[in-house]
Amino acid sequence: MTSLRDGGIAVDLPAGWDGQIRAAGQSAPSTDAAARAAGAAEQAPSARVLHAASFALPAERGDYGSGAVERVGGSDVLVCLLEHEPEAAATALFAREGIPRLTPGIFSPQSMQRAIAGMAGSQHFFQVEGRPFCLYVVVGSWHTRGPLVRIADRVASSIRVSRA
Amino acid sequence: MAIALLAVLVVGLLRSHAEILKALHDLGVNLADGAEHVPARRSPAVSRHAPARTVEGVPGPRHDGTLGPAVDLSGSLPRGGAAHVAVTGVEHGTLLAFLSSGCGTCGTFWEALRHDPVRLLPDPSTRVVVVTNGPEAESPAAVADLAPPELVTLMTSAAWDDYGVPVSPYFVLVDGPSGRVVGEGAGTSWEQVVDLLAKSVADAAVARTPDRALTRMGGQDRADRIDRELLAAGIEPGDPSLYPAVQPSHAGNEP
Repeated sequence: MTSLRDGGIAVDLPAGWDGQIRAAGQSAPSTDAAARAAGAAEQAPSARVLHAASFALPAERGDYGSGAVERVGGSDVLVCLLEHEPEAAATALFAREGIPRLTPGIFSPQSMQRAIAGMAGSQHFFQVEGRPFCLYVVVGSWHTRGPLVRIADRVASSIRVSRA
Repeated sequence: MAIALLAVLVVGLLRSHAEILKALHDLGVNLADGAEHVPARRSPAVSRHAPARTVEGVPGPRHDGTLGPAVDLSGSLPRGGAAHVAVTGVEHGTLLAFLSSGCGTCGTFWEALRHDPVRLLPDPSTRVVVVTNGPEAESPAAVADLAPPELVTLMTSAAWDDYGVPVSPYFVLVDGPSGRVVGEGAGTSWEQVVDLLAKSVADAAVARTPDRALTRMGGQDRADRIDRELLAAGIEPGDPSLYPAVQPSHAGNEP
């Protein structure tokens, strides 16, 4: 287990996992189409993006994981945490407090930013310490999502956020 | 098994290459283009953090360490942020390219790594990760300008210490499943590094089929093969050409 931290966000990564925390909006234009299509909100300059994956994260990725989602294998998990502008914390969309627990029942192929056969996703909006976030998780297999979701939940539950 | 053989061969090739470079270096020979002659020295200094400038001499191999277990990498990103790269306990191999922003030979690699470097590798599943020293020793802005967009570039001096990197450029090949370093060494061009890896793969392929490659024919097999070849040439059993007249020996007993 390795801890990764930056910008007031920390996460514990299982063995064999890659992780990156960086400023939002650094994605290459060619890979950010999914985020734009999804209507991603404007991020503040200090907004952070966390990507944690059970596979090798590519260098070029969109904030919502485009570029990495395509590499998710049948036994892989991708966890994306996107911070939104501070004002969003006052909106109803981000009213929920705390990182949600992940269960197999909340994963669906229809929750993918872009449907990819066999995969399933889950997306949640919430705030922690007054910082609004979207948690987007992809598992490589809808049919065997149970153990994959448990791993994803373990990683998501390890995320700590401090006030900006 | 194949991985183990590949590991042995990679180790041998990279070490051999590095030892040749070291020997040349010790003799004052610099392979870098346009490099000036440098005096021979017996014991090249090994820096822990500050990378050697290759314009002053060809990188030599480290001489104070042995191949062993690999370690995952954690550090900062050139454009800001933090990253963790797993190289152990993963299914793929990882080629770590230890580069610096200021060394002449590194410039060749920074440029080469911008052009789909994985395409040239003998094993396309190999992941290439560029590793520079941390922000305390390197300019993040300079590294960001050089960083190949398609490769993860990590700034971490700890990795240079963990892998005992003596100079830059320097390359370390990690076998993911075993979590061990299977080869390391220096090179003067990406093609040279790729060539070493390709040769190791080719050698490994031969090594995987030693029985076939080294099989010797038995006596009857050899006789049958000879008969077939003679028949193909129109020489059948009993042909007079098979029984040439005995030539008198120079030492023979002439009457």
